[in-house]
Amino acid sequence: MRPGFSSTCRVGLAAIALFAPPTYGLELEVQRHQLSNGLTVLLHEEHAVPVVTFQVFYRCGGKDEVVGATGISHLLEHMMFNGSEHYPPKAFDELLEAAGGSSNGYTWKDQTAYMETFPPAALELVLDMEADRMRSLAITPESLEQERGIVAEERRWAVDNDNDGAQWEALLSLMFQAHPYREPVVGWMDDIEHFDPAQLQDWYDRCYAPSNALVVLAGDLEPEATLVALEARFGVLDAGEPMAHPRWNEPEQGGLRYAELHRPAGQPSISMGYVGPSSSDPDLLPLELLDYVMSGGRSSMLIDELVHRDAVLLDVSTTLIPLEQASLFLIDATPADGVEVEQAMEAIEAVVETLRRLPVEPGRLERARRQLELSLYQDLESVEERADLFGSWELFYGGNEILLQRPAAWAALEPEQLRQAAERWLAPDRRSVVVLFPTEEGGEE
Amino acid sequence: MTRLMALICCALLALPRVVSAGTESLVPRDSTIGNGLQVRVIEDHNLPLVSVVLMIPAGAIHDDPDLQGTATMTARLLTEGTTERSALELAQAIEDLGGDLDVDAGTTFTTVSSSFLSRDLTDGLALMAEVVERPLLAADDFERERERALGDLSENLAYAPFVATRAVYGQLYPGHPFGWAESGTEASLTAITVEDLQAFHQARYLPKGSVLCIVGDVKPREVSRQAEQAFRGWRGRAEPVAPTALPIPWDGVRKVLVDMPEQTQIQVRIARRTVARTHPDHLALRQANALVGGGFTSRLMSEIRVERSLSYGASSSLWSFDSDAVFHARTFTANETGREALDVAWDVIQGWRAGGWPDEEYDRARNYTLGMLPQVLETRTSRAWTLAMMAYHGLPADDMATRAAGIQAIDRADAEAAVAKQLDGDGWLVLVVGDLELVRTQLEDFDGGGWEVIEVD
Repeated sequence: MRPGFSSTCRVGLAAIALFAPPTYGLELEVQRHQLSNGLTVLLHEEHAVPVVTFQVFYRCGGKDEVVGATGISHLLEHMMFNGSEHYPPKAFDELLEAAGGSSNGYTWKDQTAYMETFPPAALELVLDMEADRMRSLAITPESLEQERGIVAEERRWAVDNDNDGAQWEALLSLMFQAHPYREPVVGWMDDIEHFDPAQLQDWYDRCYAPSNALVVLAGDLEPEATLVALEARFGVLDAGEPMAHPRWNEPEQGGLRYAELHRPAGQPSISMGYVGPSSSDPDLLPLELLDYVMSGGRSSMLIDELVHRDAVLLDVSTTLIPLEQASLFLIDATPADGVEVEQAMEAIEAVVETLRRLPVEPGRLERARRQLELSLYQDLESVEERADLFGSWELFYGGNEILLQRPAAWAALEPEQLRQAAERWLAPDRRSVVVLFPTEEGGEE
Repeated sequence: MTRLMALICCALLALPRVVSAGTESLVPRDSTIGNGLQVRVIEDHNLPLVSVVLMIPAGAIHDDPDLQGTATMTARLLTEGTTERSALELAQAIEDLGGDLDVDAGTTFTTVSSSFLSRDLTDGLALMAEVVERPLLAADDFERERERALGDLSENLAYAPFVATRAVYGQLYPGHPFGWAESGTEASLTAITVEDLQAFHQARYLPKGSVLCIVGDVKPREVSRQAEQAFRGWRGRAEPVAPTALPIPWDGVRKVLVDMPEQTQIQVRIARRTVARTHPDHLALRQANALVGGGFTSRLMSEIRVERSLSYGASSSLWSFDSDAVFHARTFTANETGREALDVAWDVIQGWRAGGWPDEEYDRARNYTLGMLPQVLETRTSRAWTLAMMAYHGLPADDMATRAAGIQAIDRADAEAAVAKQLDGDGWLVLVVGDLELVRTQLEDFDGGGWEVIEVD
């Protein structure tokens, strides 16, 4: 074993929690190593619970796909459980479950990730299986047909038969005109139906290589022994070529975009979206706080003013989704009974305009900070979540160290900085809106 | 394959040691404070967090049959202001602690739950006490919440999985509170008055019989003192409610259809009542369930998804009330493959009931369950909820700590016998939700036909 590079990030949360510094002396240590083939590995030792999580992130997701081949990363994710050179079909899950572990995977805009959580004794087995499928997946016509059918069902379930899914898909297509973030990660049905094994093999060869991956291990492990085992199984793999990613090519929006869906539904719903800064952009910080200022609980601006005080909305929520090349700031709302969609949208826009004109009231800002702080602690509770956070922040936020520095960064923000961020990123000419109107049974409005 | 076999053997041999670790953070310290409220505490100092669940025996089963949704509406209004604070002031106080106060009414009880930084526990408990003891339950708030509840219901009734689940419980428990609509129906929500909520709160939100579960960075003795202080003004005991006799199961299999036009998929449900959590066979049934519909390699997932690509998911579960339980298998598929998926799911269940499971398959399911235990009980929140459920079922305080040993003690023969005895051939429900115009013909002769069509409201 000859690890090429190692560093350790040791950050004490106690030292950076600002409001009433606790005396817990909590420290989360993340070691960063590089195997001899260049594969980056993060190790986090935590013995509180007798489980280990292995996660591998491939920098290959929806944004890397091209028109006509949408959903190929997601389809490949399904096929990753169907056999590799040393493990026949079904073996991955059968062996893992027999060893007391569980597995999952997901595909998103910028990455495809796999995770196993298991008793420490299953570590060698998991490393062996994951290393085997990193470079030696078995892609056969049979396994493609099998997963094609499942993915088609997944699409019907999550989009075609689901109003929220359909509205989300329509909104993305509206928010992005040029950038591949506009395409659905699950893929368009026609694309799903037309992939062949050669396409999948080519995509696999490009995406699945140490030079394009990050491995994170967290939990009840011994770092030195784990590193030796990693080097033995992953360090010997061909590094492959780093994957080229599409550049940011989205033109300035320059005005409101609006679309309607008409589907069977209980009531109308409004989905608004703004394209925001990338995950590593410092402007993401004030938007994280604005998310909570707007809908972080009963006293937040949108919920207090529009649901309870003015009774214009039945419910409303905001969501900030950071991505590598942009972020999505979303507002989802249901108009109150008897309130026109247009009136509901105007009310939401008025609150957004207030945030663009006036600094956030200090009490609101403080509550948002406290909510974010608690939320961070909660996210760090399970080793699986820790591994996911460390990996995601390492890849897309500029390093896992930044995650633990977040409370201090939130505390340092002034109300005027939130106003400036709102003025810039939540401008009316950056807004896209999809309204879902209910149809009567049988499809007639 | 030598290397592979060695890896597998290492992993399997070490399993029992793994699941028996960490028991010190799984056994609560129990106490009862002056007003009769039971307090259960587990110390865990790994993070400066504490999770709290207050379980109150006030659920949908306590609703008037014509006013289903009363417990849910009461829960919805609990955080809409108290006699001391407006809803906004209350919300600000909760959010000042960084948290959220979730109030949720289920079939048999209501829970008030939250997580705080442990330094904020005293303030958090005081807020919890305030909302359960002294909610405002005002008429104008009620009207607004009723409107929202009707909106939510309308939305849910357009969502096939919700419709299917509501239909399953309604059909398994006709006329029994376990089958009532927790979130109400349009008719019942319209009929409920704010006075009904006030009466429900007065009769059911009482400390004796309630349980406060706290897991996190705390000291049990200190927590008892904090709870005593926070809940000192809360007094009373709910009058016990005479249990309603459980319906008599029907002979054989009932087949039920629910029409939802314009769906491109159907929902398939196969369900049957069985014995509750406290019955000696229940844990064996849980193990058997893991084999048929638990993990990714379970029979339902394997036959429906992996072998035939009929669905994205197929699973089964065992949900227990205090006196009864429900085995509930579910999948969904495209309209065109509806009959095939139903046939496969049905055959899997019947084959499973027939027994003769391979040892390797049973051992895998058992190991999977054992391996999942530490994950399931890892967070403070999950353990606080588990403590509450243990209290509901009357399980001993060391249940979490001894669960692994209990699972290991059940062998394949035990599990097969439990299925044969507690899931025999009668009382089964097969339920399909979908666009009947498109799917009814292919379903007609399933199991000899005889489908009933019902409406779900």
